[in-house]
Amino acid sequence: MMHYMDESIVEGMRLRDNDVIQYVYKSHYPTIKYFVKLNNGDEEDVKDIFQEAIIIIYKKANNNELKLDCSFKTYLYSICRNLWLKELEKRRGRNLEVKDSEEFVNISDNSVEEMYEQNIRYKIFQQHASQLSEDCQKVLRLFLDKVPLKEIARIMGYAGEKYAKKRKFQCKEKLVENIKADANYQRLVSKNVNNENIKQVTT
Amino acid sequence: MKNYTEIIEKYIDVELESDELEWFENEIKSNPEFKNEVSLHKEIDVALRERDVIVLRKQLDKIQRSAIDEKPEKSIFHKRVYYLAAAASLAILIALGSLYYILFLSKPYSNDQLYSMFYNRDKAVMIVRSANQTTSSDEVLLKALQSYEQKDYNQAISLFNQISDKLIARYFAGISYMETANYDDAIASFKSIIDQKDNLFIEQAEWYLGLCYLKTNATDKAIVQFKSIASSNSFYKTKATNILKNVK
Repeated sequence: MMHYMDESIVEGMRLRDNDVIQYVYKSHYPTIKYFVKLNNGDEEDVKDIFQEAIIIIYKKANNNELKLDCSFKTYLYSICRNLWLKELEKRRGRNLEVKDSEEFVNISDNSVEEMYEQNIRYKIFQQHASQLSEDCQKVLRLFLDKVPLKEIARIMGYAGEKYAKKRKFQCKEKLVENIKADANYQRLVSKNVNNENIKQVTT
Repeated sequence: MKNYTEIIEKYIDVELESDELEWFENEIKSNPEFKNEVSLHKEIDVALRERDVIVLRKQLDKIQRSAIDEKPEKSIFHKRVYYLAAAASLAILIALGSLYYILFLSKPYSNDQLYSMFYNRDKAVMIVRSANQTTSSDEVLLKALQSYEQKDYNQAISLFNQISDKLIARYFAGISYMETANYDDAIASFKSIIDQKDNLFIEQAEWYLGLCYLKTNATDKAIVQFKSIASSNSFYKTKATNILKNVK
């Protein structure tokens, strides 16, 4: 297996290079798996945490927010640790003691946690969008890309512009309904509401 | 909640008449549930526009499956199948053992063969610095790496030599020399990196140096080199050990 230096890994991830990402999975997944399982996680949790960490690193690399003061391994572990801690907090309540298996650095900015919350919301939206009918997916995509209404009607083979608009509303409504009916989404929303209530009570 | 999809979408597309707009903005201020609904509609659009992340997630799912899930860590056999598998494995082991003997113990590989088996050109991923920090030598490095990636090794070599104070330039120059069969120059490049002690390229340089010695039939030097790698904590420890088993 090709060996990558840390700088190359960050650059490779920024570019979504398949070889680099595969290298990252093969080299580091076992470490993260060990850590998450050591701290009450299961296989699904490992998969999710690892993927979310990669997404965060990808986004940070593309925003030029990524400067490694430590090895990539340590950085990745620290992010996963951060995310898993957040997850445990959500599921079990306050600050739990975490058992560490590696060295870590303090991820001092809140942006990681904020990104994580936003990413998992978006993931739910994106998943539901991909489950809409082909017709709906296509219509929504065309409107999002700001294709002119006339063009949309032509491409979709609709009778007219009014109907294209109508389809857009119908498809978006279906999507919103599906998302609201998603148990994961409901849990996310209620957690946020609870946290805000707690803040109100204690201040 | 009543169906507000149409009016919310019109609001997002800035298509509301002024009286509708006034009502809408008041409703957002006074009705938190409505405000959340509007936010949700907007957020969904933002999420669906993240095409690169959507693609990346599919890519990660695929890599997860092939690199992690499909590696049989724990195979669950029914008892009957397990015994059959065990018997078959034994038979295969015996067959493989004989094959191993024939292939490895009776006919050692030539140096050339070993070189071909173990040599892999390293990949140069571009390290891009922000625009206002680029020095002229950074630009030369970038061009050199691009030439290297495009396999224009002679161009790459001449560019790398312009910035030979940088270890990364010496490293990729070394590989470029190997690619153009200039093994003596490659050896010199890698040696100069190793002399620097304690840098990012030492493990690779030591490995490639060994391969160069093999290719130039300096077998004794190659063995010394690979022994040193095999007894260290190098990433190439296992590979070096494999070569040592097969060389003579």
